[in-house]
Amino acid sequence: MSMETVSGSQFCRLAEKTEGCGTALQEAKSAGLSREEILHLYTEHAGSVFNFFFYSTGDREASMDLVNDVFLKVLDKSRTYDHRKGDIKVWLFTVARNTLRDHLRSRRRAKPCLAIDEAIGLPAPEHSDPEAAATLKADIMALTKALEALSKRERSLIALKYGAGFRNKDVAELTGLSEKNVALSCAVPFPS
Amino acid sequence: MYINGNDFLNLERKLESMDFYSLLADKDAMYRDFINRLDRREQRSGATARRRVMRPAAIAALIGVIILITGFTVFADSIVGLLKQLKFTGGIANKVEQLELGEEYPPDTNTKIIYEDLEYAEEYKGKSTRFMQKHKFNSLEEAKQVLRFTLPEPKGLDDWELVSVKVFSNGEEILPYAVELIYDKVVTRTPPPPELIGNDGWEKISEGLPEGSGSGSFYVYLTYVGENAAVKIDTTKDINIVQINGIEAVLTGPLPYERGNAYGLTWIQDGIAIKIFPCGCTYDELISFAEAYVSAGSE
Repeated sequence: MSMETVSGSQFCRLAEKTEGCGTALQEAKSAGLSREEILHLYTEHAGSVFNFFFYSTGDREASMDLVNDVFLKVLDKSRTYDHRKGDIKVWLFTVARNTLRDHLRSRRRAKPCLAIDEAIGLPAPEHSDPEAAATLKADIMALTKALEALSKRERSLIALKYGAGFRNKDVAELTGLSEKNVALSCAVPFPS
Repeated sequence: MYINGNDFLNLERKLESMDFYSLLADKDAMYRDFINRLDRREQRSGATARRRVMRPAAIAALIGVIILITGFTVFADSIVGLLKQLKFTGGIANKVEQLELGEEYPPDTNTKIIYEDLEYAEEYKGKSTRFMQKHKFNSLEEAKQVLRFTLPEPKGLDDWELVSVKVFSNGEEILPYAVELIYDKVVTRTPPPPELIGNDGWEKISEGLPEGSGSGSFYVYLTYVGENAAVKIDTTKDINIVQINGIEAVLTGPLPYERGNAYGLTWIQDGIAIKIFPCGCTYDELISFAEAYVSAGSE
C-alpha cells in the first residue's frame, strides 16, 4: 500500500518526538483534544479512515462524510479516551466502526443501495489522464464488486486490514477475534 | 481461485497497492468541510460553555438579589422603626404602634392623647369589674346638682332627645365629675297619605310608638379633667384627627365612616373631656351633634 500504515502506538511515539502530541493524547481523558491536536490526528489518519469506509461501503461521498463524522465524534469523546486501554488509532477505529454501523443501519432504512459505479463516483481530479482514469475506475469497480460478494464479517475484516492498514494483531484487538482467526478470514476470500 | 468470476489473486495485489483516499477522495473539500464543522461546533460549544459559566453566575446573582432585597427589607423596617422612635415620621398612628394596651401612657405632645385601658374590651371578655357603675337620674337638672362642674348646654339638637342621664360611681360613692348622657333621634311623625291608611289610621299607629325612639342614638360622656388635660381614648386602632369648629377632636373608628361600626369622637373643651359615641348615625349627624357641643362651650 502506498498509504502510510503506522499503528496507533507508532503514531504516538512519532508524535511525541515531533509535536508532543503523545503527551497531549495521553492526557486527553481529562482535558480533551485541542483543535490543533484533532487537526493533527485528522491529517495523519483521515486516509486510513476513508479507506476503511470505502472498503466497507463502496460509496465515495458517504466515505468522505463519514470520515469527518468520525473525527468530530473523536473530538467530542476525547475526554473519555483512556490511553491505557489501547492505542489512539485502535480507539479511533472503534469510533469508526460504530459510525459505520450507524450509517449502514440508517442507509438501510433511508434509501436503497446505489449502483456500484454510481456509488464509487469519479476518481479524484489529480487523475486527469482519461485512459489512466478509465483503467483505474475499472480496477476499483472490479474490486468493489469483489467486496460486494463477501459476507459482512469478511468485508469488515478486509476493510480493517487493507483499508485501515491494521496488522492482524490490531484487527484481532479491535474485533475481539483471535489473530489466527483474523488471518484465516482475510485469506479465505483472497486465496494465494 | 475465482469467486464471482473475479481473479482475486490479482485483486489482492491491487488491494495492497491501492489507496482509495488518494485516488477518490476530494481531500481539500473534506478538509474544508471538517474545518467548517469544527468551527460551527466550537461556536456552539463556546455558547454552551458561556451558558455553563453564566448559569452559576446567574444563580449566584439571583441569590445575591434575594439576599439584598431581604436585607434591605429588614434594614428598611429597622429604619422605619427608628424613625418612628425618633418621631421623624410623626403622627399619632406611629405613636400608637409602639404602645401596649393595659398601661398608662404619657400624652402625645402634639395632641395630648392618652390611651386608656380597654375597659370595654375587658367587659367583653367577661371582666367587667373595672367598668364603673352608674346612677341614673330622672332629669338633667337633678344630675347638675350632684356634679361639680358645669355641663355644656348644646343648642340646635332639635332632632335629638335626651333620654338618659347617669352619673358614674365607684360602687361606694357617686363620682361628681363624670356623667353619661344618652340622646335618641326624634322620630319625625309625618302621616302618610290618607289613601294608604285611612283618615285616622296613622294616629293609631303612632300611639303605639314610645316617645323619643328613633333610628339613632348618641352616648355622650362628660368628665371633668381640668385644664391642660389630655384626651383619653380606649383604643389604639383607627385613630384620626378631625376639626370640629376649630377644635381638634380624635375620631376613633375605621375610615371611611360607615354606620354600624364602632366610632368615638373625643376632645377636651373648658377642662371637660367630651366623648361622643354614635349608634346607628351617619357621619354628618355625628359631626353636627359634636358641633352643637362645641358651640355650647364657645358661648
